[in-house]
Amino acid sequence: HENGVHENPEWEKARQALASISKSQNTTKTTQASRTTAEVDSAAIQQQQQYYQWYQQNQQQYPGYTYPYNYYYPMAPVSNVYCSVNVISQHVLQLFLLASGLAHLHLPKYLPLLWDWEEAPGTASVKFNIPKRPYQVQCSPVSNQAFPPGEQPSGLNLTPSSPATCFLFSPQDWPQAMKEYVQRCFTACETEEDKDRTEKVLKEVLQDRLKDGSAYTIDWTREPLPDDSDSQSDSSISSDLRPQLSRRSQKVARGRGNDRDRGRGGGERGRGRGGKANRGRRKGGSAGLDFHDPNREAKKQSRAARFHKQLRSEPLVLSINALDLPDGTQEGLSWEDCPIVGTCQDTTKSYLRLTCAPDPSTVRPVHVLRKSLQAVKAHWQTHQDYAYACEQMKSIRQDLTVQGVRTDFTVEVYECHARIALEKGDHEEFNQCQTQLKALYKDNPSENIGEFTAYRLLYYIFTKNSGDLTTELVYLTPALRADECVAHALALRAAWALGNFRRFFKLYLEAPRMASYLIDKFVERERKVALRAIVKTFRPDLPVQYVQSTLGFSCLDSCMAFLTGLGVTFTASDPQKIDCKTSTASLAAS
Amino acid sequence: MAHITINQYLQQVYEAIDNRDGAFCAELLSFKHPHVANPRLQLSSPEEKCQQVLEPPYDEMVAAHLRAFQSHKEENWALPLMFAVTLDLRIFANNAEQQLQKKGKGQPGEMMEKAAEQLMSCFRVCASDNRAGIEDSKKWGMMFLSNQLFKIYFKINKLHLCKPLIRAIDSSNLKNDYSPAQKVTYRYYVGRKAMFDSDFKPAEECLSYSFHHCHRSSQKNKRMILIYLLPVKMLLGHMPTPQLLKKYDLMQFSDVTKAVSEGNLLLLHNALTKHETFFIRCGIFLILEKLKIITYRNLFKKVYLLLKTHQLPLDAFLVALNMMQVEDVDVDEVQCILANLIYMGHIKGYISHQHQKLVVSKQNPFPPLSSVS
Repeated sequence: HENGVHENPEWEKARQALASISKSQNTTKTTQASRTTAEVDSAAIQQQQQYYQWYQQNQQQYPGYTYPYNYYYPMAPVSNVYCSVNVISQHVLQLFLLASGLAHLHLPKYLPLLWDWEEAPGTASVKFNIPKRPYQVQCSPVSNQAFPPGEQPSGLNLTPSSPATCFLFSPQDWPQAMKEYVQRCFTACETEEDKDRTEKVLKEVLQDRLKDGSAYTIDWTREPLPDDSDSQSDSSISSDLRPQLSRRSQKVARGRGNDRDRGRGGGERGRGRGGKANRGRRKGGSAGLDFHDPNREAKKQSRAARFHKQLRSEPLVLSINALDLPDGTQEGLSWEDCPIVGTCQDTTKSYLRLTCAPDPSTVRPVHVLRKSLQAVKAHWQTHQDYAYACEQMKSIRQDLTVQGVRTDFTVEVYECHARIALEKGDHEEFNQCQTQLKALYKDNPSENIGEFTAYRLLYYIFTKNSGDLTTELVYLTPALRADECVAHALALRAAWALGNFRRFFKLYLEAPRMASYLIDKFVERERKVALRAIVKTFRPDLPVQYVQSTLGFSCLDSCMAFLTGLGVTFTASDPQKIDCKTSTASLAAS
Repeated sequence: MAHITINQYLQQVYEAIDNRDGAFCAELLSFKHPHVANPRLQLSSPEEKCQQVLEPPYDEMVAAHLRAFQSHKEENWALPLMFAVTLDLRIFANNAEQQLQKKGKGQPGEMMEKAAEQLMSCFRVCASDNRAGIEDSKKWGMMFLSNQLFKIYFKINKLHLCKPLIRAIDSSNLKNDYSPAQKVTYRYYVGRKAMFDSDFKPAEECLSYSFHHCHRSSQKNKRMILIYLLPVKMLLGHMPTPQLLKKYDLMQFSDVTKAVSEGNLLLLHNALTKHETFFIRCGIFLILEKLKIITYRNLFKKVYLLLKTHQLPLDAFLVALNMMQVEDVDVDEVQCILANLIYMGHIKGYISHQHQKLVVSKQNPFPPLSSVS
């Protein structure tokens, strides 16, 4: 059932745009995004244009609006806007804007969503306060010699955030030589990035020069063109809110310019010049895709140094403190990828949970482990010391795991441990082993696969896990079903499911191999259930012998013990007969 | 994701950047990601923290992103975004599972469980939204998220985890006001859960609701609901018509239906075996098995009707069973089957072991199936 949400197609576009990002990004993973790039492009472009147009309208708000890029450099018209789906930033941006813009439509319920674009996005009182970074171009108020004669400092409060401070002089006032200098600078640029950089540097330079008046005095023809030096510290790189997401196989797009002001309501954002223009620039022409930045490494280093961060150069140390969990494998870590080769020659070894990579001299190689296994088996047979046997088995398992050994021998080890656990009645340890075996059998089926599959089925009956039981049934091949143990387990399961206690206990007594150890775990429970039904059904009385044979008791005494333990009462005339009516009451109470 | 602290979040962003994990980084900065619902990330001045952990320009970017959350405190417009991403998350997790399985790595259910954890955090955020008024409440997200979680839990076989979700929605005052589509999905899963717990009456109610309110154009969905509704209804004694089965392409049930109403154990056994794979894959095999009991009941009722007496020799049942070609049954087992039917309330009577007879009540000895549990 997919959610039949009625929604604005804008959501869909945005979603598509984002989905296409994950698609194009996940070169190593596969995702389900089925939308074509073309669809996304047009969708994204539409959105771009929407914002672009609206943004245009708002430009007029800025009195001291600084110059768009196309003042210096002719720009292609809007319709050439090219949105690279690889520049995730724009999509994120749009989503922000979309989402924020929609925030103020009053929604009685979120469904159905009927969006009206009556309000231009952003003109509602959405707060999108971006922290203000100090601009590198600080026009400090008042210093008389900063102004050429005739100009007076305005009474404006020149705060850094005010756009008015940024360019006190319009280009008409610039000395011609300076204008030419600017032209040369931009002509020297080859890529969008170059232009961005240049613009930034120029701003600073020109501002300074204009402020202190040297703009009119220096020889611009000899002024060196700005080059991209490493000395440009990061604080001077104005923030770019487009996320610079690096991908494994691609270089980073260095976003430039001030994108913060998207021309949203409120002029405080200022420095609009960079933002919109840069956005346009970003999209202009195919150069937008040129991510190559020759100085990236250098910048990276300087950044790292600045922030005292160490780029990780050594591989991570693997921690393996969960080696013996029931599932056996730790997330992301596989001993098969970096196994150890052991050299220890001791047959026996005590078990310690590992918290880090073990020393190979403490790990036994396989040929030693074979001997270890024999030793444990022998010890168990003669001494029946479960604690010892379990510990030894665990240490053998551990040595196999850290050496990445998943072979027939491993299967043998787990089968052995499982059987020992069954004998002892340790169903938790048994379950651990059988879970491992299930995985191991995929690549190393042993001749006992039927036996252990049967045990698994019985275990699910014990835990009343019908979910896993069903799953197990799904994967039973006809060959497995024909296996003696599996067939028995299936029959037992069917009898149990239908409450056919007669058949259930008959099968119990016929259990092959070690199945009865497992069934023992829930025999008592099933007997109780059966007894309740029996005692309710039969009137007036019932011979104990019937119960004994029906419920699979080996002898009369054990049956009697069971019955009396549950408060069953017997007829006065014949103590070998159960008084069913009164027993019903006492059973219900127990 | 919806419960991590700002420091943890920033650390994740940092690591994502450091590891050049563009995909993950994008998520962390996207409104589609569930972290947007995390109240701990809604800081008014995240700049300083961001600067501490991240390099420019990421610090500013992330700070801006976090700032945007402010507007979410008392609004829920981000819900559709969350829905979109949770849906995608579940689908991606599913795909990741399949990928892993193909490679033979990873635990089955691992990806799905992770996705479920994420969704559960979102659910908690939504459920605990007490600040906003009802129109802006994030509680509207609860049912959608529950439905997504149900799908995961059913897939990974952890149905017991459905319980807190059901409880939360039941106690919510919005439960009848969600969209019809969501309610249909919700009831469908609640019904299936009830089936699983052998609560057949509530299961029938939920699944019937789901079936009737499911949009008539969603044939596939209606068929899915029917797959679960049919066994439940049959257990309660209501057999589907052949027309219904034909309409929804569920002819696998036709022999089963026939067998049960006739008390024909052989036919039932054959029908179940023939379509076993289908039934097992749908997860209804075990339930259909229980129909065997109903079939016995119907057969024995016929015996009763034929003999026209209230004291029925056990042999009569044995004969009936043999006629149905159920060979390997003896008198003891007959008693056992009868004992079960009596214990479950399908037969009102008792067995006299001494006389080897079933003595049934003179009144309504075979109560209608719908009235029995």
